[in-house]
Amino acid sequence: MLQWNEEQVSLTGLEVLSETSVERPRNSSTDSYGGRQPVASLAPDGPRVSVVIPAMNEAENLPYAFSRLPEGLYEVILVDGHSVDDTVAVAESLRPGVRIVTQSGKGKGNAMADGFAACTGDIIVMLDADGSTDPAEIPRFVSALRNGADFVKGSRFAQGGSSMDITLARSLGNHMLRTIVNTLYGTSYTDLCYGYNAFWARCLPYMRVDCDGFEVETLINVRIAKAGLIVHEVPSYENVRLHGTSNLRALPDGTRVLRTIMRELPVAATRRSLLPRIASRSVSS
Amino acid sequence: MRVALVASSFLPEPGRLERRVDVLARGLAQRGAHVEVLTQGPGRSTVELREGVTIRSFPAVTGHLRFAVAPKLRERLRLTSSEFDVIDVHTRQAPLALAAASARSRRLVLTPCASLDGFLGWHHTRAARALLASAPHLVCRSEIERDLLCASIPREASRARVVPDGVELEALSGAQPFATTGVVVLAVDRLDRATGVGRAIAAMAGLDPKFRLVVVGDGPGRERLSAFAADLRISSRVQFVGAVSDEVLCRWLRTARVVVTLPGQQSSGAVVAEACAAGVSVVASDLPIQRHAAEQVGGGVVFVAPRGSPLDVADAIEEAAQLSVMPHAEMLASSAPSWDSAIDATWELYRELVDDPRPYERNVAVSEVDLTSQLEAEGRTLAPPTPITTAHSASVPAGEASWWPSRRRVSHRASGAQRWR
Repeated sequence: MLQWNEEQVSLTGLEVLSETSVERPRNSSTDSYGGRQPVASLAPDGPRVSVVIPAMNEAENLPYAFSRLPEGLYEVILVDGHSVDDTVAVAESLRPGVRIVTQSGKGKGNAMADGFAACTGDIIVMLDADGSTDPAEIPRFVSALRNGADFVKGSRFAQGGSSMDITLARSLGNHMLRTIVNTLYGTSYTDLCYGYNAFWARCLPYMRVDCDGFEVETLINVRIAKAGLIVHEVPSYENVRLHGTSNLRALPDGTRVLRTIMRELPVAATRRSLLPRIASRSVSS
Repeated sequence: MRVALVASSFLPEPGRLERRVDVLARGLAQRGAHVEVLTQGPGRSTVELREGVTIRSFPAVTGHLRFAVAPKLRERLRLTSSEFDVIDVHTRQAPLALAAASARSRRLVLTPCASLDGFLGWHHTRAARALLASAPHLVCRSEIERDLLCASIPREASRARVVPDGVELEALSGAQPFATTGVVVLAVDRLDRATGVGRAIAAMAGLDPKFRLVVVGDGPGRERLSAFAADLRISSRVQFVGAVSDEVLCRWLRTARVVVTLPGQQSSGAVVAEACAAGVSVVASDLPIQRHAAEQVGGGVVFVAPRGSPLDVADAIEEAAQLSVMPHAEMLASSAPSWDSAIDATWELYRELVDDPRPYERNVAVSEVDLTSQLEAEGRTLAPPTPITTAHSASVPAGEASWWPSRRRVSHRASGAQRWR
């Protein structure tokens, strides 16, 4: 089991769990996955941890993702986005106890909403099935939650985190969108559009995931900030996608993210709540 | 005795300050004082006589801005301050107190109706400290507030009195609860960012649907908080009833199962005292003043961190809802301070001030001597004092000098060439 120094370093409102006692085995010859950590296990007497993995045609990537899952998980929920390959069969063969949920609609946001609805654990962890996020980091997220956070964001740009997958354009877009969110919502996020997060199941009413696309992470981050929940960030390492191609398109999805940010502004919310009243007044007059 | 109660805002505006001034004005008038409330608000100047109290409201040119002082109120104070035996300033911010102080009243009492942190905010620090250092009498609403004041300005300890806000026990015990369903959680506060009502609303999203939040009070943040509740999809469980009369407030206190008061900084602790006296469990910010109020009255209080997760508040509400309710007989025997005792203490303070033949001792050593030596060093001299030309200056008895710091007075009286440059 990993030993993490759980000393929390305050970074203008957000707190980051710093890793100091264990050197990450990045570029280690004994680890065939580059910067990956050895697989850890969760404390047996801890909270029940559910993992939600949305997947569409990820049969080739699942063996890696599942092999990196730590021991002691309460449940693993695979949300199948109507895959045409053997995604479901592979998942069931790799982990017999896996719960398969078939997505009701389209898009990552919808898949996450369906996965969250099916969770019965105390803690929910969001993971990608393409192998870019390392499930072995889950104990770090759980540790932060047990230390007082309501919501824990993985961050590729916090000290100790990195990404092998992000392009310059996406990095710039992320930076711009992150700056907008931090300015408008008073947050101190170092990463915005990253799909590796964990939170207490009690936070679900504050998220109300009601979008379809890749803006789901932004929507969650913004709504969590608006509700005043306590957010911690932990550094995370993002690897390149192992097989296949990503469905993410930088410009259209970036635009959707920006639209989501503006739509969630308190001013917009106030206007929305006032509109019915103004309408009724004008009708009555 | 002629008393002027200067208030930064007054009824029908909701809030503790407004309520305190109203109760004191009526109580002092019943005890034979001629009471005038001087306040400011939106709209035009108005004069009203209510229960023996003259209420003069002057238009605030900047609307509801917290830091503004109505020019006509300032002028009224300047012209008539000498007519009053005592001027008691109740305000949340320093500018109004400074305006009253500059009016050269005979006896000034200052009642900061806000946290001292707010009163001594960075943009008012020097002015507010000068004011606190020079005002002859200060009234704090709790022992904790006085301790904070003493810690901030040690030499003022002897001049600070404690007159806590009262609780209307009779009205509370006789109030009829409203017919409601579910578990009623009550938030009684002014609706702005400092009072933490938003946190109580956010906590409702983490609670069972049987919990309902009733928000009593009004303020500039009402639309924002209403939109926030709608955003969280809990509008149906959050009811804004606005500013209500004391009778209705007592009925809500008797209806509620839990009262939440979550200010991020020091408050008066009056909500805790009222709720405890009404036998309702309380969820309160863990602040010294709130703890003091809870210890004084006694009751079931669950404390949460002043700034933290709404989920913690939700847990605390659930815990508080499990606590037992105080029986009716115990409620009447509560040790909560009453408004009558607050009025008596205030009346006694005013009497002492009026009966005291000694003028307030100004800190001459610090102001006039420093100024004189400074002017002499610059090769200038002080102009001889000129008589005050206001219409009411003649009514200031000899020996009862204005307490306004002499540095300011001297600088006003210096000729143009001798003024500060």
